[in-house]
Amino acid sequence: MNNILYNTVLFSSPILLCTLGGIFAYKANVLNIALEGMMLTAAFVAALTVYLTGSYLAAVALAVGVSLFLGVVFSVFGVSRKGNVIIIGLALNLFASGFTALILRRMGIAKLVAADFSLTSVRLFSGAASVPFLGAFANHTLLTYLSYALIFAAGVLMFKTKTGVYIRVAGENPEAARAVGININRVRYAAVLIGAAACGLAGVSLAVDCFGGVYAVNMTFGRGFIAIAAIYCGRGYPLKAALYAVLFGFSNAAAMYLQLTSAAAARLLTAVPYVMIVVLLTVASVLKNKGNSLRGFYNE
Amino acid sequence: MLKEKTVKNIKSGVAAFCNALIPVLLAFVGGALIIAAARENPFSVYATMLGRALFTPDGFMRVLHVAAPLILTGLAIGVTFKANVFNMGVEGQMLLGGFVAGIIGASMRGVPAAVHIPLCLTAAVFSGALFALVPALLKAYFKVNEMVVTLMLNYAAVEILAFLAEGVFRDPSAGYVSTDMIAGSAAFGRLFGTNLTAFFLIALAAFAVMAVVFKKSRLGYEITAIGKNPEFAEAAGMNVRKKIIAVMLLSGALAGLAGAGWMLGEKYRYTLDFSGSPGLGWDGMLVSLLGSHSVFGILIAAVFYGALKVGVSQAALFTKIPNEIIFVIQALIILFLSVSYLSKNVKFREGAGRIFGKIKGIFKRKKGERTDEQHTL
Amino acid sequence: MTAIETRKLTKKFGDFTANNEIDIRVERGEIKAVVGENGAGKSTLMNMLYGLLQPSSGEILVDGEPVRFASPSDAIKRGIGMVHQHFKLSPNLTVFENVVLGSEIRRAFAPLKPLCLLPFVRKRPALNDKFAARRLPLPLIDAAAQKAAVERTIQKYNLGLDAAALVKNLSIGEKQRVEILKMLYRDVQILILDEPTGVLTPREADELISSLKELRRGGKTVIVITHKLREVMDASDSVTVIRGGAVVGEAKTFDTDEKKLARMMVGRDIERPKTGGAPVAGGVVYEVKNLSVVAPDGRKAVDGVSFNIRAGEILGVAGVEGNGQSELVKALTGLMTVAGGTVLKGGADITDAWPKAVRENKIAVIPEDRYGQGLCRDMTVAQNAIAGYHRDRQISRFGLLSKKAVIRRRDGLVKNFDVRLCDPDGDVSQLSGGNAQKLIVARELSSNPDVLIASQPTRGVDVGSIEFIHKKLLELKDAGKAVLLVSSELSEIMNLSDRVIVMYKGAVVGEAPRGADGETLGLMMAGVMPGGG
Repeated sequence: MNNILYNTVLFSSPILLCTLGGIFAYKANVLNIALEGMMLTAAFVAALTVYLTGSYLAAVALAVGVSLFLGVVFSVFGVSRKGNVIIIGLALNLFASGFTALILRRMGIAKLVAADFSLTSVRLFSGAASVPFLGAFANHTLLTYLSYALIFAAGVLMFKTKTGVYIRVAGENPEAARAVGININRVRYAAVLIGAAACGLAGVSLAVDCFGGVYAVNMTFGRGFIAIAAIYCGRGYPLKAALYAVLFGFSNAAAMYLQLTSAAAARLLTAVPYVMIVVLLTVASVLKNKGNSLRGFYNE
Repeated sequence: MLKEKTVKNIKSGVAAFCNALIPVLLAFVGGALIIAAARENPFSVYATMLGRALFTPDGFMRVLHVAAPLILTGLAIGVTFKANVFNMGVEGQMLLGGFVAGIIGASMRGVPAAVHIPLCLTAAVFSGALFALVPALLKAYFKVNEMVVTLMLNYAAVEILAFLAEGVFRDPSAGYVSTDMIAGSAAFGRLFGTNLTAFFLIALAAFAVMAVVFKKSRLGYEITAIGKNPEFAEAAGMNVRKKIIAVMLLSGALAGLAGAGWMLGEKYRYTLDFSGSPGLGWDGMLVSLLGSHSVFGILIAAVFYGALKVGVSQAALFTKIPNEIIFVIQALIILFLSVSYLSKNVKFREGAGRIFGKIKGIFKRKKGERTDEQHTL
Repeated sequence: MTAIETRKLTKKFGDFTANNEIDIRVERGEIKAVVGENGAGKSTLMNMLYGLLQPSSGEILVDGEPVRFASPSDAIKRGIGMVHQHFKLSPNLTVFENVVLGSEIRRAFAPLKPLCLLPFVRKRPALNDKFAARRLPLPLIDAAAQKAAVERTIQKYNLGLDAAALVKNLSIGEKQRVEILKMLYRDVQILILDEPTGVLTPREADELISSLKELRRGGKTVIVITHKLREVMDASDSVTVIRGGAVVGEAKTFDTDEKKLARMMVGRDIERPKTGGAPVAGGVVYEVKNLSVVAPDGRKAVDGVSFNIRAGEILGVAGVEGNGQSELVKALTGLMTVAGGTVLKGGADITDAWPKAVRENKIAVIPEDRYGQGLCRDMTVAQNAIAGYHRDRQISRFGLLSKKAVIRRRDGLVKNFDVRLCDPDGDVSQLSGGNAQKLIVARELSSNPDVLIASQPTRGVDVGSIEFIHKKLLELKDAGKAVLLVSSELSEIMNLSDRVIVMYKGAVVGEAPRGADGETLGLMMAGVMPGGG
């Protein structure tokens, strides 16, 4: 049981980071579906860095850097050139999965494993790991704790700072912002880049914290889209969206636990979280549209 | 008058062609950089690709064969994009269609081909459509974002099909995860000893039907209206809800057909890499974008992309460039396709239409915001 | 003393000249009215003054100095502010957040402040102040300080707003005051208002005019863009008339009158629409009983509305915008579901009918939002010409459209309703507002309906097209059809209708016969019942 709880805390972290970063673009009305690709690229870079250097800090720096680069590409095409953001997002996702696979193939390996790397040195409160119940919350890396602290940080950034106000106005009524001389494009860049930086951290969290320095092809496996679903369900509010993210982290951890006990149905269980997201999205949407007397569909 | 019209048509045709060509060229430049980084000569790699794919009769027939499922998945994506509905589940629907066709193809013995093949195809078409019905109903009745739902269901489909292929339907004699080989009566034979099968003809027939739907039919008109302005479409009595369901069913059916054809004409058994990577559904997205969601554009793009795929697999044999390069080139093409380089109608943009939009802001918030400052190069 | 002046100011969009060598002078401390028809170029001119557009040639002078504005913030820095017709407010932010937007007050932290407690420092006021004043700004917003600052401005100009309220909960008049407040907070000296009374009740409009006069007393300069001549006469000191992108007349307000201004605006005398013959006492064709509609936000937007329309009758629905007319029309045309009540057409129950069924019942619709529901800008004229009637047997058979029939339909509509096209095969976006509206009217009236539901049929349309559309509505009435005319232009309602009902807060608050005077209707529109109710 403690194991499920520990893994919930751990596996929620990458999704949480991705979700909290993604809400800014959502609020700025720029649908960033490249979260998946940014996280995947960052995971690859992080795994590669610990594989080559063994340095956790370097992994964080490089992963965030590469993810920010993708964020800039996204913004140049989507914000400055006004391309279709969904198509750009798909292209970046495809690029991430293809490019990392290409490098693995050139290296002649199917999976990158930093066998020499150990997380023990970067884990905190390791002494408390064996305490019942509370132990599940100990022995995590700083990044894992940070991902939870970011729930509140994101709230402050969104509601208590200029950047946050501008991002919300840019999404609600860009004309209002433009009329007082706010540069909408700059605000949108900021929103996308905040998400990109968070996805960089999410990649580190996934490849290094969760799997101990491993990169396998397409290892994010839809976590970026799950983050998008969490954002939708939480309508861009940090705390609400974070709850959905943790819920998925829990179902992920539970599925992993059950796989150990019943091997035959293991594959089937991995499908459960995805179906769950669909159910949650549906419930959220039904609640949102309850009492809506308007017929028809509107372009968003 | 007529002449002016022709000139205009030619102009917009040239613009459309350039808008497709420029991204492709840019992507090839990007690909060349990566190939060069891998210490291969990009020119000789591209020459191998082109030569082997297009300039041998065998290679060209192979290209058309590979293009067949791409035509179908391209149309499957194109028809939903045109309605501004994002069916990202073509991949999953295609996999399901292929799987169902494979199971029916393998489990019935001693049936004549004239019955067996249509049975497999029909079952696949229905299962693809049925799978697409789930997001369609959720979107139509509860306004659930279809893009996230279809993406999630893709992952679910991959896992469930893998579960079935590993368990109940596994061929114990195969050394890897695979279903039983389909019966000879279910397999498409090769036409005239070439690489082509009847599947290509079926794809062409589906293409012809879709051409009529897109260009001539009331449904096509309604789909266009819904895609451009759903509020207007609803007000004009088109019942957008029903049309969204119809479009998704059509898309799922085409995807299912694509999977079935690939199964009966190429793969003969369901394996975990049945659709290859990045997957025929995702290829369909590129094909549709490249053909700017028009039927004829999709046909041309499918053949082009088929050539690219055949060429890359040939190049992988003869050079050290791995197959994955196609991924990167595809991603770059899509990325560069997201923005347009030449305006279809330069005159008009400078003209009155733009002014009325810009100055008065008569047309409302949602549209005004993006249209009023679109950049043209 | 001139506050703002333009010299040969010209703005071109491609081949089209929106403003041609405009010379205009506004004196400090006056209220200047700029009048002209829709599309005359008033907004273009003002957008240049406010830095939203950059002139193609010519210059702008503020206080005698030439200026160049790259953006609205440059204009604001030079003391020029603008209140737009469509409010530029963010609904989920509070009043004060909207007001300070772009110039937020940040929290600061005074690291040396503790030193002030030292007796040594306390004795020296200079040093004390210096330490207290040394502040480091933090990235956080100081909401309390912002609110206080905005409240001070509200009080100074007596605007009667709650600084902490969310903008989405404000009435339209209040939102407009927030827009004005936004500019006053930035200490502008010249205030430009674009069609400020279009969305206000007559009473709110009067209030606005008196607060503008108040601002003038305070030394501010006000420029009002409008096409409502009564307000020009009431409020302004001088008038400039613009037609076809050029100045065609200037006058002191006391030297001119509405008639002269109208002639200058249009370039000829305007024909008043002739009201049709005496109301025909036909049978009831269309009947609405106790209809209620609940808006998506849970508000009862339409509350127990009942009325009927007889053959050969135009029933006008008057009211200030936002009092449930939109929702009423949406419910009647199938775009919103009905919460209660019934709708009868020729005795048959068509409550909650979908748009398709509405048309099948021979009810034609001219929707309120021309490019939202009426037309699709990005489709061709022909495709728009059949919208809603694309199931007709002449147009489509067995699910296939006949291209020839579609073209024939388009050509028929364009010819009979004088829709002017540059390119017959082009998109609807090429059409001017008036021609686009004529295309809708053509499409809907050509279907030979029994009932027409027309919502704001002449909004944003040039005078020629208004006359044309009015004529067509009257023809329809004379042909014995029933017409429901919803409009926020009181004069339109009064000129065309045989009977008028007035909506206020979702309910019908009064009914007036043909020929009722504007004042009674105006009072009803503000929710005041005749007879002191």
